[in-house]
Amino acid sequence: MKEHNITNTIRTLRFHADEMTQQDLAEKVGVTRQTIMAIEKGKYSPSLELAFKIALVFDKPLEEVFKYQ
Amino acid sequence: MTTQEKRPIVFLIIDIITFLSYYSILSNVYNDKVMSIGELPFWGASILSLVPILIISRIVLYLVYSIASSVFTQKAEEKFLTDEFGQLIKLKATRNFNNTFMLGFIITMGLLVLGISIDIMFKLLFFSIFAAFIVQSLSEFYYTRKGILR
Repeated sequence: MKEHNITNTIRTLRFHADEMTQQDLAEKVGVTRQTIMAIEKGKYSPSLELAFKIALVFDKPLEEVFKYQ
Repeated sequence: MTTQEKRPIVFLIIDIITFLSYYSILSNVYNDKVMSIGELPFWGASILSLVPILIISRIVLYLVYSIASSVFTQKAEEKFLTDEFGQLIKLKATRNFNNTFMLGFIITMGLLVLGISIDIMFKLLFFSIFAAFIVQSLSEFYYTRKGILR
């Protein structure tokens, strides 16, 4: 599997948001828990729209949630 | 294991059960049917019926599985949603389905050139469809587990 360069801080942000569960986050952005799991583990790069939705949930700018290295 | 991971495994088991049952039924009626309607119409009808039978059995047996699972685990089956990740998985799994069937088709045509009989040809096509369904389910499971990096 190819290397990919997008990292994210979703796990940390969930922790700071009262230990928000993956299921809660999934429901807020309208995807499945499986998708959130895959994004967190860096196994899937979300679409721009989903990335913005996730950032919006945590009230953070996109670049604080996702980083390109 | 999430619903997204369980689903292709359940489909894989359902496909194997359905295919083996259907193939054993076909083997039993083969001689009578070939005598009455002929070899080519028999295989034509058998292959045409295979895909709808597999789809219907998936729907019916998955429903049975969901009910049984809810009864035994005492919790409702998680709703199956398809989002962008699920759609990408489905697309890749369908691509693998098509590639597997095409490979089976090309191998069959190659063997036909080498002189295999018509009934072997149809059996190979039949197994190609089955193999394609198996590959589709395994691909869905693999991509759900391993993820897709673009």
